[in-house]
Amino acid sequence: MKRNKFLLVIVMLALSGYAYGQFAGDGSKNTIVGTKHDLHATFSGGTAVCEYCHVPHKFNSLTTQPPLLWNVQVKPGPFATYSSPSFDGAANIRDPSTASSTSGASYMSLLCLSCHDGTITQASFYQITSAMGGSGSTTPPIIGESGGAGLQNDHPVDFTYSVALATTDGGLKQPTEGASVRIPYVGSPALPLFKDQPTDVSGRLECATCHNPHNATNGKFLRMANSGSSLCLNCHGV
Amino acid sequence: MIATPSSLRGTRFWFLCLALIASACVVPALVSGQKNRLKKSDRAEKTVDMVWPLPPDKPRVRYLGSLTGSTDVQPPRKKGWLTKLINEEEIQRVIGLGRPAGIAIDSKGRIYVADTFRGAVFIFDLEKKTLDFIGADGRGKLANPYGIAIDSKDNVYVSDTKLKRVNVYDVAGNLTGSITKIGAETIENPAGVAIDAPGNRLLIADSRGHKIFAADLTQLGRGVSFGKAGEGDDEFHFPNSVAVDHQRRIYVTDMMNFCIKVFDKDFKFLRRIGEHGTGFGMFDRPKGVALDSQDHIYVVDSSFSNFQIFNPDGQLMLFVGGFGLQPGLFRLPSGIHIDGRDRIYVSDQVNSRVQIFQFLGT
Repeated sequence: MKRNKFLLVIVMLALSGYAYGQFAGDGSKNTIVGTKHDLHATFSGGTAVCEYCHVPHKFNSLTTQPPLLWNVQVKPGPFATYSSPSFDGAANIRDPSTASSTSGASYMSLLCLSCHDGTITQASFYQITSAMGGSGSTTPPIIGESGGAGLQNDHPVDFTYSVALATTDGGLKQPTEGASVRIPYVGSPALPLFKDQPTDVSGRLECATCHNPHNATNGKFLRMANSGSSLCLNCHGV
Repeated sequence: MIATPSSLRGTRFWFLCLALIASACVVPALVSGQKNRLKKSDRAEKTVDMVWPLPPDKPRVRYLGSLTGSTDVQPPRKKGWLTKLINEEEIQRVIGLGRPAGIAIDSKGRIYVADTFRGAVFIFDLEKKTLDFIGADGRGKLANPYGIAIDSKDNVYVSDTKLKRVNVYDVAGNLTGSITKIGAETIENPAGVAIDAPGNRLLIADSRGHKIFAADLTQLGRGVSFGKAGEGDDEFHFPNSVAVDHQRRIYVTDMMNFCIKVFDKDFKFLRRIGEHGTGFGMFDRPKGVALDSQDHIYVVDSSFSNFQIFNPDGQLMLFVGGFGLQPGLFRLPSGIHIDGRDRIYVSDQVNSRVQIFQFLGT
């Protein structure tokens, strides 16, 4: 009996680990300092580390809100920014305006792309490899898609990685998903997939599925070492 | 009537739902109507559509329409029975904007859009209904065009963050020069560019060199640089864009210091606008900056998916936008340009369009 209780605690702890986002690449080595994401190292005397990605909600601390001189009707308030899906609680992961959109790029990958656009570091969601003369389309490519055949540029992100997708594809590992799974995942070690809304069943593949921006241990902020393409095969390979 | 002037969050959720339902019905008609109106040029119409701010405040900004690609200049041909009979192959090729960044307008009113995904500059001529390209191939081929500016002779300056250079094209689109260095200093990563016409200079924000170059246009390769990495008044941290007002004051988006810095033409520091935060008048990812005829300052913020408008004293007047797909909303907006008629062009990167607004005056 005692033993059973002990096991139960272990199991619950393990489950809560998943519930709180313990995935490959998470853990005690999480640190920005000294990595390429440590932007305060650009110059000596810099002090901030976190704020380049995590905006302080300073508006709360202001005693007087700046007025909108042309718009007296609007109450000053915070602007919505990109948010984190590992945020606790039932907060909406995306802005509700995109919840019904099948092409809505998620906030979290856009946070990455707001710097990885060529100005701070190499553009990560660009480039069409064929010349302009190719058969074009007004449908914009999804983020990361190369625009041509194969992976000539980037891996796509911001799409739903569901059991159905894996079944249809035939070459992808089945994700663990469900309404009660707070953060769905795929592979072993587990890579996280991110829900659009807390009630969703399936998660989406985002930049943070393969990258942990807080941990540069594996190089390129990868969640796991990619020797022998092990990271790739964690999804591609059944 | 529809208006979507605000950020979208929290208690506004239900309002938003209503707005979405309404816009699903109204927006398609509205958009096509707006496009036609834009092409009909300056004719004033009484149609009320999207304006900011909402009544009863006096409207200052109106949505005019969006550019998405070749369909803006080549409306899809109606398929009559004859066309169907004659050709299957003459179906027009459609080229859409991919990830638009910098925007500029030449003396003939043509709209130039640097597209980092297509690796080329789109040139929309809404009068003649043509679409041309610069840098799509050949000698002046572009890789990752980001900033763009046009001088009084319609020479086009395009910064490329992959080629690490500013290419110069003549009015016919031929490559006539390239700027990689100013004096002995290499431009590390040219991002936003702007013309200082009276000074015959091209200002270049070097986002990874943390400085601003003022390139002499009478002699390519000559000029001066200003600033270094840091947080001080005369320092920058990943400066993204630059603009010049009617008094030749220089506005720099100091992206990772989260503010706009204003200098006189000789780079004497005048003031800062904004700080880091989510409140009104603050910034998180400030990118494009532009000025209207009255020297109001417009700043695009990729993180807030909006642009904020400040008066010349740096006070916040208004903001337009929020995250989303509908007209008036943005996903990762980047560049902004305002033409001589106070039309505001904003590149809406992930929505693959350029949204056009009209500043209506104070």
